[in-house]
Amino acid sequence: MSAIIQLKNVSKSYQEAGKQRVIFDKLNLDIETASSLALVGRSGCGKSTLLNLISGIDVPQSGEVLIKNQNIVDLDETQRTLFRRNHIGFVFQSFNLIPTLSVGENLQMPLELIGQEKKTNTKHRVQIGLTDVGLLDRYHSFPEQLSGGEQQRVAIARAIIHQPDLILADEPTGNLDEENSQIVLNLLFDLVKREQKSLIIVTHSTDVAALADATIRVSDLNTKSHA
Amino acid sequence: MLWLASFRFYLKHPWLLILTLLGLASGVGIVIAIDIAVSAAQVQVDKISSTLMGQATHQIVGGPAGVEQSVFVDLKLKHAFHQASPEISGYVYTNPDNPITLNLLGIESFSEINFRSFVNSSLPNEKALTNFFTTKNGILLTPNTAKNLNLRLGDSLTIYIGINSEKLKLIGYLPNDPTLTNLIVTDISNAQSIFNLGTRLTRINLRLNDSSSLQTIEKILPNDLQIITMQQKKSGLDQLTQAFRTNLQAMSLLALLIGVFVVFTTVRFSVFYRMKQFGLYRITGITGAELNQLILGEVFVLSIVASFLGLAGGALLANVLIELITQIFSDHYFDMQSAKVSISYFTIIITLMLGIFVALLTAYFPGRQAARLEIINVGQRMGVEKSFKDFLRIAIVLGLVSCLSGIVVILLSNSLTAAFIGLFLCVVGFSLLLPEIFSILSRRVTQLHFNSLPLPVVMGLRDVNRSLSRTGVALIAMVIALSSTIGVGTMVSSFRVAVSDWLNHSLVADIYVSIPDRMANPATQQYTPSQLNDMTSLKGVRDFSKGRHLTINGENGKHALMMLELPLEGFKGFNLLNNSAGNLFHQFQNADVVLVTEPFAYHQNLSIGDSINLNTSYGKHAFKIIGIYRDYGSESGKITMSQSVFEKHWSPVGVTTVGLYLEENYSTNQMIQALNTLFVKDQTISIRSSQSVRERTLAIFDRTFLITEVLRVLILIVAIITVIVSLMSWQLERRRELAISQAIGFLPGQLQLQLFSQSIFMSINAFIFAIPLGIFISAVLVHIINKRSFGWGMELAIEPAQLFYAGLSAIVAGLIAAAYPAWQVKSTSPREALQENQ
Repeated sequence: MSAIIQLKNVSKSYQEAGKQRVIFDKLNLDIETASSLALVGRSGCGKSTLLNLISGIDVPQSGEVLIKNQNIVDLDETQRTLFRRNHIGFVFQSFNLIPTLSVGENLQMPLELIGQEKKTNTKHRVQIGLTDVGLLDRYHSFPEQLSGGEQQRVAIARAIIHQPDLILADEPTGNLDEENSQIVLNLLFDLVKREQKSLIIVTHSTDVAALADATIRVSDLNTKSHA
Repeated sequence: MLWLASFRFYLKHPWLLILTLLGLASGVGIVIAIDIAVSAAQVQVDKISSTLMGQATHQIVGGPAGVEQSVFVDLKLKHAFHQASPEISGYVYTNPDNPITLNLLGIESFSEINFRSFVNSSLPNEKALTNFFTTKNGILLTPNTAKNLNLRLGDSLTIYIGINSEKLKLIGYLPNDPTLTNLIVTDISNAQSIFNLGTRLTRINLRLNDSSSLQTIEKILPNDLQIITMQQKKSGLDQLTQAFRTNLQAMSLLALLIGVFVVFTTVRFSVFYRMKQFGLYRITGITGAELNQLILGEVFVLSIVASFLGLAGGALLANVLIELITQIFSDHYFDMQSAKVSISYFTIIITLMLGIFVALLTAYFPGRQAARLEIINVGQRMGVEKSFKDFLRIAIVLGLVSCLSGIVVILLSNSLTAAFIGLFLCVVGFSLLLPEIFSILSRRVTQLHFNSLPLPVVMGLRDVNRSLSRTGVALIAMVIALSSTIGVGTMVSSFRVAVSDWLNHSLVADIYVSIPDRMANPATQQYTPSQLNDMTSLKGVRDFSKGRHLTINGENGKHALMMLELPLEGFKGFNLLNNSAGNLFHQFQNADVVLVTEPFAYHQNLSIGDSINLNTSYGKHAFKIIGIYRDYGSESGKITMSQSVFEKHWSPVGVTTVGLYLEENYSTNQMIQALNTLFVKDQTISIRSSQSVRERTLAIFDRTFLITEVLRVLILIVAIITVIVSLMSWQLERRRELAISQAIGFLPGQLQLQLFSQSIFMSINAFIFAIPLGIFISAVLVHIINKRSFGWGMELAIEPAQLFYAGLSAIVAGLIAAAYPAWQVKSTSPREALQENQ
């Protein structure tokens, strides 16, 4: 299988209280297409930083970040944003649904952003998306009317609806109880597998990590190259 | 979808929506209201001028005795110049028990047809024309004036000129134009008879199409006559309305500036409240430019709504302002009917453009900040504050540059507009320095008093510094408003003190008996020798002064002149600059010298020792200026000359004002009663004690500045709204933090103490910072702007009451701003607040 994501000699550090804190030093990492990868590690080891580098939210001091052979480090901020719009879906720990849009409208938004609202039957696609996560009956509800688990399910549907190549999930079950966590994780992995998408999931939990095709301990990343 | 989300956000936060609309609408509304009101007044003045002046391009005017009729006859017959029309103008009154003043205009109907259109329409045919010039004392009135006087066609009207009366007959109607209200039009021969002018005229109107005609006429005119252009005649009034407009517009722009802060604060709040949401937008693929467009788009829509609200509010306010402006003109210049407020399409377009431009300009910075904020910092207040602190460093530099530039502009230029621009630069510059000064101060306060203050207070004060991006804006808005209040209030009170001092100094006589200037028709209205003798020999009178206000011609046009004969005691009433009155008295009485008022010297660029050339009955003559004195009676100023010197150079004209100096302990009221008995039949004569003159003058002063007070209050209200929005939005952003405090054990009362202490601390600081800025503003207004507008000089008088008023406003604003969040602390459970924005 080919790699959808390739990090080549990526170095990233931050200024903290006058000192340089190195997160990654000449990191090399390949992530295969249509696979799921769990990033684990203690707090502050760089899991979210790695996610930010892969998504183009942050840029390394040096090195290349290739997604589908496109080096996103070479892109300017606007181009990286547009790249994210078209190729990446996000699931956050805090759900982050837009509070003033209904459930259906939250799913409609990514389709509008990629300019598909007029080309396809958007409503139909939204209905399919909600059906996949078992929340079709909540089409017109607002996020504040949903439980945490329901909100996260909507967030998953939103992350996938525009057919991105890559899903990034940052502690998606961090704010959920065990039962809802299980439901959400099953849903996430099933959808990713069915749609043949790539998934990178950041988690503290080894149980969650076990669901992925591969696991990387982020603190090890500076000592090994991974493929 | 993004637009839908934005729309619903504002619906969900109606207070934010209302305050944004209110802030922008109030700023725009005040600007538009002043523009509409002053424009309406200007239109009214122009209309009055053009209706009464008609098509005349020039006028031949004379000295106090007017123009001999033979000049007109010569123009027409000898020189075949037919575009000329003679005119007599003066004031009469009706009904001594309840006098109504009327302006009587005598015209020569055949000549007048080419000049005033209302004459054409009033005398449409030969019969009407014949009736007009053959009927003895036949008059024309507007239908409304006739109705007010209970007259119908053919009825008689008795009018009074001094103690004499005449019966007039209504023979026709003028057009029902409000500018012709209280105007009586009659044949010129009737007017000459009524005013006992013999063969004299007030003026001759001319229509000149080329400069050669002007030169020809100038050559044939006698020495004591002069040709003035209608523009010259009107320019004095135009200058006045322009100065008036500039001063009011400056205040209105201040209101707009403060309104800008409201918009800025609410837009910033709406952006930062949704920062997490905007962060999501950015992460999921909305570019910075698209986000900026969204924010600007929201503001654009709001600005359209706010502009229309501002226009509606402005129109309502304009109705109030036009009444005040009309009163000012009527008090100082001439009777003016209230103008109608009308809103043209042009006004609507300008309002929209102003509102949209201001709103977009204001929203540009928060929008740009949101778009440029690094995504990894989105949702972190740290990122926002860091960004603001970076801005502060630039702000300090900009602030210093702005202050210095402002001072340079004020000092180096001579224009009024430049003075306002310089003042604006100083105010903005000082405001930019404030957040950093405030930050240092708040850090020091908490360091110094940590152990002596309750913990909630310390937490509150530290948070003020931590949230500088919010508190800084509120502080700037409040300082600008408070300093404007202090500045303008101090200027007005300084002016009032100056006027009061002037009145105390110059009203030396105990009683003034005068024929009001506009009733004093040349060569007809003056005290007869026997009247003078009767007045001045009354029991109780120890000395007297006498005089007359006149208009004479100089090199640069007409000048007001006060002709006076007075004792040394009266002469000492002149508040001379750079000299003592006693030293100059003898010179004043005998030599060809004059005193001039401070505004006159300023406008004519004259100093002591300069000469001024005046057209006398015997040709041009130079009069040396031996003194300049403070006088607030008129903004164009006047020349003062002794009667003996005047009568050397012009024909005697008699006096219309007498000042009586009473013996010690003689009752003023008793003397007034005696004078009333003496002049029982003459309603034109005004008999007032100096105390009464003083009170009336100060009452007119207070009415004149009522409009300033109204605007000051409005500006303060807009500023209070800004502060409330800033502080409220800041407090509401921190609901979660406050909820955490409650969760860990702080009582609601302690949190309320924290909130109130922050607000009051900010208010007190704003007041303290506003004092030096306010005093600076008042100094510029008094010594620079007032001087350049009107030529008046005065001392700065800082009244504690102004400072108290400003301080109280600051505290009230702070209390109101903290009240709602404090109520929310008590009424909202921590659980709800903690769950918000999760």
